[in-house]
Amino acid sequence: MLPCKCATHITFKVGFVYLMDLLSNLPDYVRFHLFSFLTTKEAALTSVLSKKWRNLFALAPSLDLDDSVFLHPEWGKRERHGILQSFMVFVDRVLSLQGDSPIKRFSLKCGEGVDPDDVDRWIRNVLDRGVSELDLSIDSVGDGDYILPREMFVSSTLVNLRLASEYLHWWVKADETFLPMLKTLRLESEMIICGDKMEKLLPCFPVLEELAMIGIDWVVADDTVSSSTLKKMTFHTTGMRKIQNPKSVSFDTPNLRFLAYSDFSAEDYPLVRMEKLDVARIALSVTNDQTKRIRAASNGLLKDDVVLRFRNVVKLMNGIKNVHELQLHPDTMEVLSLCCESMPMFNNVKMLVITSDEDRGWQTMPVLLRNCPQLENLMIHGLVHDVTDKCGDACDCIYRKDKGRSLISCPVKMFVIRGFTGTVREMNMIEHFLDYFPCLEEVDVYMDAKYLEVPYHVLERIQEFDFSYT
Amino acid sequence: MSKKNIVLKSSNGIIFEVEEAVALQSETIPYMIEDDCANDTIPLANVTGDILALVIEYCKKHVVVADGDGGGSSSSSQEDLKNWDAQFMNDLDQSKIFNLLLAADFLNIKTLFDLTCQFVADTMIKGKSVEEVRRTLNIEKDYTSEEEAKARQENEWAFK
Repeated sequence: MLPCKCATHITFKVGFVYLMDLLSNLPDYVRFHLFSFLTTKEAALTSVLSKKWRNLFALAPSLDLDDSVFLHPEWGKRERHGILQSFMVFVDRVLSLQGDSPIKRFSLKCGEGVDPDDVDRWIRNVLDRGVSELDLSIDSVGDGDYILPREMFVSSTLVNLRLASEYLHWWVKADETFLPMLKTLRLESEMIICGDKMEKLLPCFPVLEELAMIGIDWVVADDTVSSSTLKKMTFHTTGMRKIQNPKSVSFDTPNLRFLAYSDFSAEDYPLVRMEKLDVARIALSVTNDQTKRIRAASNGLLKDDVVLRFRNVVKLMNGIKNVHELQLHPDTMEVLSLCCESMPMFNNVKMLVITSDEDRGWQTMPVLLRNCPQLENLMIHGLVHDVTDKCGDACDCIYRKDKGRSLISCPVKMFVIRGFTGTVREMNMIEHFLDYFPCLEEVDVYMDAKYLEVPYHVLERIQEFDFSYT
Repeated sequence: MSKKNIVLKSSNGIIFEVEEAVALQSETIPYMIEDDCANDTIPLANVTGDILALVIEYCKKHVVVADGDGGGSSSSSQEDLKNWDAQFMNDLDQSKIFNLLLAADFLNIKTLFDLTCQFVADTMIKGKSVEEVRRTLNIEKDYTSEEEAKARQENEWAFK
């Protein structure tokens, strides 16, 4: 409230708004926190606001630098004469203004044309100053020959580490790696090459909780992912190098809650310990030829073939059977068809997500629906699948007497269909689901964005469903 | 379990009674309870009534979700909460935003502090020209033209 000294004074001030520079008056540590929501480039604009702001941006304990982002982007600007030079000068200046003060986060994205010696110096600089979060996307620096400094692999302060590159070489061996504080490790690449197998490497991160390895290849054909601290793991192998189908993969991760795992189907899963798992997303790939052999094998037509060993996938399924959410990809559905008879019950699964492919079958769909007695939500990406001699129960592709048998016992309430293309086959399948799922309350159908308009006859039939099944 | 209430008093003497779980989203308040156990009312000398009302509105909204889902709130409620946060911030004028930011800092409510800082960064600085930032935030330019040109020169890459 303004002190009321005299009435005339107040009358005079009506309509006058006192404008305060609220931002500049914030304490420095608050302004630093504000900068943490901006890139260092965005924050650097504040240097010309007023004298009070001149070097403040550079003192923030969180730096985010990307050599490819411009205020006024133009094609080929990054490669223009002097641009990368000014980037390197900028990073040098910011780091020198920071002196030896502690730094929390350092994010650097840079590519071809940036001097590898500079990159190396910058990374060593922040490691020396006890950086806890390091996020590096380094591509084609020094003709792609740039290797990360050895110090990074033995930092006692790193808590979060993310490395991304077209080709990523975790070049040191396990005995030269020790990151005692590391809680999250994320490696993303078209090809990650590790110096050692996972069994040896993971103990180098004694408190690791989150691991993402996207684009890794197994170093050996039989490996064990073992960690008592891991809670979340994303593991995508490419199978591009020596080993395609691994011989044996084990998971000894008793505290894992989330698993996203894609790999070529292994011949064995001797140990799968993840009894606390909530979410499993499994994508086990097989080739077209292996798919043919799998189908022959499940009809007893194949003796002594490597695909027969894919049956061991049931051990993986037994290990993850406590999950609440299960997601399976089209190839996985083929692999699982080898063990339909021994499929475990998924007593906790409330959400089941299946992705289909027109070249992969639904042989496993009936057993999955039967073995999820608590299922509430079902999501299917793409109803169109390859018709096999096992069709006709969960789907209506071929006629059989007991059609819809697996649907009748399924308590699903919410059914979401994605990637709908509006064909008669899909419409018939939806009608079949509506006829047989006894507890269904809602069906949501999403069409691909490429179909701008839903054909009239499809809309008409959906309205018909809406009317008849409400 | 019976619900315990906590009484908060703003700098201009306005009293708010809130459930303990709502108030305890502030990491400062527990210390004040310990320090001041004889007195039932916790005085907040740095927060005015209108701002404290906003803080409580935010904390009430956020406590319900943490409770309702046993800690692990579902993605849809997270999404709802995000939308609510956006609307909540959009309805505030500049002075309220900054006072709320300072209150969140003083009361040590991390999510509200992050929300307000992010909002200021996103809506008042990001993607704006220097002149726009000066204008919207009433920052007085105390550089001469030569000094400003030099400051730009120092961080040349930032203006590319």
